[in-house]
Amino acid sequence: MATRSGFSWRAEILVAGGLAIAGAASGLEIQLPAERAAYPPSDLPGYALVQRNCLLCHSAEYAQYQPPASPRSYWEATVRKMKKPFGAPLAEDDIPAIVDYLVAANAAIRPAPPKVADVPAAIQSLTPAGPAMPRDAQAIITASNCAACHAPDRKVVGPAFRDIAARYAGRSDAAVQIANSIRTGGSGKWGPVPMPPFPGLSDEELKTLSSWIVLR
Amino acid sequence: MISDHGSEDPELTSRRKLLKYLGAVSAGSALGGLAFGALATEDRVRLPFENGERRLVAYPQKRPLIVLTSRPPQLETPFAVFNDGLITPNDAFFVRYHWSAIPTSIDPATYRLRVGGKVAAQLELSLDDLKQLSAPVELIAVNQCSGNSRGFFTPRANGGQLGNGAMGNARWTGVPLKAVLEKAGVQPGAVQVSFNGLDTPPLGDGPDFVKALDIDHALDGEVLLAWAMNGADLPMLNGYPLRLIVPGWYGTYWVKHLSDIQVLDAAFDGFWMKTAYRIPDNACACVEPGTAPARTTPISRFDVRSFITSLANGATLPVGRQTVVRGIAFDGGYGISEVALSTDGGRTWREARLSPSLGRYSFREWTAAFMPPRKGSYELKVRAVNRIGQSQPAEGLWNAAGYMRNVVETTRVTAI
Repeated sequence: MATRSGFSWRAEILVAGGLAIAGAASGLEIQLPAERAAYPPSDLPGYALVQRNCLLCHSAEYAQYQPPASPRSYWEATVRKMKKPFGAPLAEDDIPAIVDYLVAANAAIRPAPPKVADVPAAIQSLTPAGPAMPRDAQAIITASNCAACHAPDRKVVGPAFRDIAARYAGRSDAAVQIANSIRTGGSGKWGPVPMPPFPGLSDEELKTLSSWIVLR
Repeated sequence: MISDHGSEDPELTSRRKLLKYLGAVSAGSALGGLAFGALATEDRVRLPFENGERRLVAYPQKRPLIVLTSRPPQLETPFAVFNDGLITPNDAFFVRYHWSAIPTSIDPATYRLRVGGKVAAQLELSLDDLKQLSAPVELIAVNQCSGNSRGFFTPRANGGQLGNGAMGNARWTGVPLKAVLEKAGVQPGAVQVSFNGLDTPPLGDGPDFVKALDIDHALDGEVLLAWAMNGADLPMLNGYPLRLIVPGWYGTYWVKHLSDIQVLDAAFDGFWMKTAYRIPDNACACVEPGTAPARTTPISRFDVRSFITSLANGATLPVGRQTVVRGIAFDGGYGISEVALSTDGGRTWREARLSPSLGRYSFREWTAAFMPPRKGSYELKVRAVNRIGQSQPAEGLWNAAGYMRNVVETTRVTAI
């Protein structure tokens, strides 16, 4: 279902939502549940661009739930609005590719699935879509555009890989924790900008990447 | 044209999918024993328009609600809740944000509300200061998103594709904004008052979500700064610890996590007033589909709406036996004066009985008896009128932003 070539808005990885309410003396604190939506994988260059840009600020449902056959003019105007006045750091040259991708993803919205089936469609779509060939950490970083926000030794939008490694140093579950953060995203640990989720990465890719980060 | 109906597909609402996370993804084995999650259950609902399938997720302090977007959280109330009572419970009340940098931790002891601008004295008020400023006021009022029901627009309007659940009715407790402004001392020449909350753009120089009211409106004594909702602290996602209550006006003005009030000597010209949340400046707030209005004006008061809540589309009724049909009606604060029910698709109407009023800003309950004389399908319609004679259009009005839908709603039932 969540193949690399076809579009599927249902390429979602479900995780147990981390719901929490702390009524401590210090006040009210909540923890938002993990994000479940994802942009459908695609070979179009805009796919990497929406992951790098759009997910910085908002979840995928903003695009996912638009009416089928929304006109290109809508997507174009919306992407431009995100750049100005909304302040998204979009390169002007990237806008056409982002619009191409969003138009294609919107065009691929499927009609309503049949009523209750023996095997719910959502389960079918959970089959991992991992690539045939294992990739090394650098390849994953390139493909997922991690470098848009993370550098080896300095803060960009997100923390340096080195600082992430330092935070988890000495913990036996460091790689798991880091992998968890990559897959589900998160906020509050490093500053105001949330880490978008990367549910499209396979378990092997996550393990490769998080193990690499731990050693920085 | 037959208008859209008001509730989710009941068959899908009750359809629970248990997803075996471990079996499907096997994260645990790949990552050395610690799984991302064990079992995840997920309920889904299908709003009755194309591409209307949604997740139901329980956010903090909330029961499972319909997820429009997960970051920032935008949650819609399942329509069945509106038949449970006239007051919408806090854990079912809809959630709407604009920017994703939202507060998730607030210490009420250090929280402060600043009041500044064209005032005699700048203020920095704690919650305790506010609560002692004047006697607390209680008001039951509907909050409704400008884009409530946008998903039903024909032709479709882009934006948040909401069903009819971006509304709710609650008992708000707070102090009049007027008392706060009088304490600060509004100076001559004040034109508007702006309101900012703790939610901010996540990065860059996007326009912070700031709204404004005319000075006369701000001083009318009805606009409140509320810290409680239905007798409890505001839930975080509904604006803890303080939000603006603008009775009868769309939710866009009900600024959450209110932190800053500025009295201005000119009309506020920020993005969320000057560019966004504007409607065609004409009597119907509508245009021919696909066209642009000559002039626009900021959205303001609710139009008149009414819903059947006791029967969902596809419900069955007994032939020859009386069924009491129940629902709600509300408007922008003039007060509902009349509700009528049609059981023949709008050809004939009968007056419904209005239950006692909870106040002119509240949902008003109505009931009407219906005895289907024969087997077959019936098209039920409900229509309300307010005290100044405003009512609801038989066919949906259109504007590009998908605001202010208030068509006469239709519920299709079958007598057997």
